[in-house]
Amino acid sequence: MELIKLLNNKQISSLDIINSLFSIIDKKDDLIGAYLTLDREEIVKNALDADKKRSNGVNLPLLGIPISIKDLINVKDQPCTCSSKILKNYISPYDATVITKLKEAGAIMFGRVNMDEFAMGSSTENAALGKTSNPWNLNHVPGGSSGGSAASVAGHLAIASLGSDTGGSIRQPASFCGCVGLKPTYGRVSRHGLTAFASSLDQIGPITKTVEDAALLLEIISGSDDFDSTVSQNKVLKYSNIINQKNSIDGLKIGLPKEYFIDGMDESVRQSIKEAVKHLEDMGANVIDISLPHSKYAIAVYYILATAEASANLARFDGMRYGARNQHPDLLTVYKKTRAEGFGSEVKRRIILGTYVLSSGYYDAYYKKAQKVRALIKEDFSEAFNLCDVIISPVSPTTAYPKGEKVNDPLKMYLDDILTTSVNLAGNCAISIPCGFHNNLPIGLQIIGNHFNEDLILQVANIFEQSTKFNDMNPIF
Amino acid sequence: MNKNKQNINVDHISQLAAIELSDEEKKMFQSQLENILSYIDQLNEINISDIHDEDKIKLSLNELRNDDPKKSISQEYVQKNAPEFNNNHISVPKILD
Repeated sequence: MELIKLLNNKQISSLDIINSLFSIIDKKDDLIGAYLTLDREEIVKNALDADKKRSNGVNLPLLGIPISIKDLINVKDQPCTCSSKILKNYISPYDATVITKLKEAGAIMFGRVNMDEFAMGSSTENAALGKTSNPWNLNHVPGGSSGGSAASVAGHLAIASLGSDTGGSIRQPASFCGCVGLKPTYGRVSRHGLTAFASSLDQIGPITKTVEDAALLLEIISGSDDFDSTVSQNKVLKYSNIINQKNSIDGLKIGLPKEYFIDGMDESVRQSIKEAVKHLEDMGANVIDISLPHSKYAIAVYYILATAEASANLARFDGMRYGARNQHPDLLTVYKKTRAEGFGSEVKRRIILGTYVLSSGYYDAYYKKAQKVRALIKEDFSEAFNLCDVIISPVSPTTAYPKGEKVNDPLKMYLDDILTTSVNLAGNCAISIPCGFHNNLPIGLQIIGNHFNEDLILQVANIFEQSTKFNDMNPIF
Repeated sequence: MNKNKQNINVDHISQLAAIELSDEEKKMFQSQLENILSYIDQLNEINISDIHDEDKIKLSLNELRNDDPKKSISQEYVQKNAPEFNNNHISVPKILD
């Protein structure tokens, strides 16, 4: 991170960085709408504190660096609304593990950024609080569900952001907004303090301007945790060092899954990916065609499993211990009305679907079957990684579309996740990096890695970024 | 499993999910969910009878940590977020008559 160098050389202070961000936010965030909360007083206090520490010789990897946080990751004493009316006034009583780690590294928590409600959506149009636009074209969506994270980074309203990815929610907004977005391997990063959507799919990950930044953030937030039994004991690698250890992809085997180059994909996206792959070939990689035969079932599997898990995870929002409560003398009515008033349409739709697939008489037909097909999807990837080192594909069949285009057709919106959800189902890691533009809207390249092989996908992404100019482009606005 | 189209009873499921839906919502969700379930039907194409999910999708789990009592969140924070709080207790609607 360039800023770290500047800070260490005393060319700028953390307060300078903060004030510069505030100034840009004042100019642009009314239109972009990335931030739901920004406690300037607290941020300034933390910046001054960081500057003081630095001048006292304290050396921490992210000292004084501000990170915007998707509004479903708990930061103590800050709101955690999940962009939902039901949690509009909720104040976090604790730090998520990733936040503890960021704070221990000296980072400053810089505001709460917008998202699709409870992470359910692919455009941030399901946000119940606030509206967010794509900095590249304000009439277009920023993607979702981590739309605020991606918009804040792309619009220079943040240095970096933490988002979450359950079916593509880091990678797709990163792709739509021209940023870098990394979904770690399931179990790489603790989910303690991440408001749960689908517990077997959720992962927290960085959304940044550069691959180097993503590597550094990943290194800091990863690792085992007493509070999350699904976190791996696998050693956390020094990703920030590792990416610079490889500057050649000679002999790298890249798999291109034929099922991911679908009919109906924007021609500009297809072309950009083709050119990116050609570029990697020119640099020495070998491209082989592979097949992930069960890809077409991914959406069906995802919308059974994720909604089932969501229906269980969102049962806690019942108006009793926290969140909004509809005051009514009858308990059951309190539950029903609280949730009716507190949840948006998409959330309700998914809870209903999830409840149905788990209900008596349907559990075997849906949930159990989906679990088995999930195993097949996972196996597709395992077998593919016997033939190649990384898998490359588009992130989305299109660039960022105009607001309102898909809001009335949920199934149409769901089908857009086709290129990202398999990765969550199989638990693999994947990164989205800018690889082109069409009509001034960014196009993302997805690099998928084997489990716990974030080091390789970061290395390949870094080499691609360094050898192309896509990362240098910025929205004119 | 084409009987799916007729089978989802949004009214019944909304009772199970404890969400009160308006008549308009029920109608909208009924048709949207039938559509989605139709799409999901394609899973019937696959023969999955010989897959044992327990083997293949086992997530790696840490050992459980020791059951040591630790400090939890303070009453102050519970109070901050409780819809109603009296006398060191969260007040909730009565459960029994």
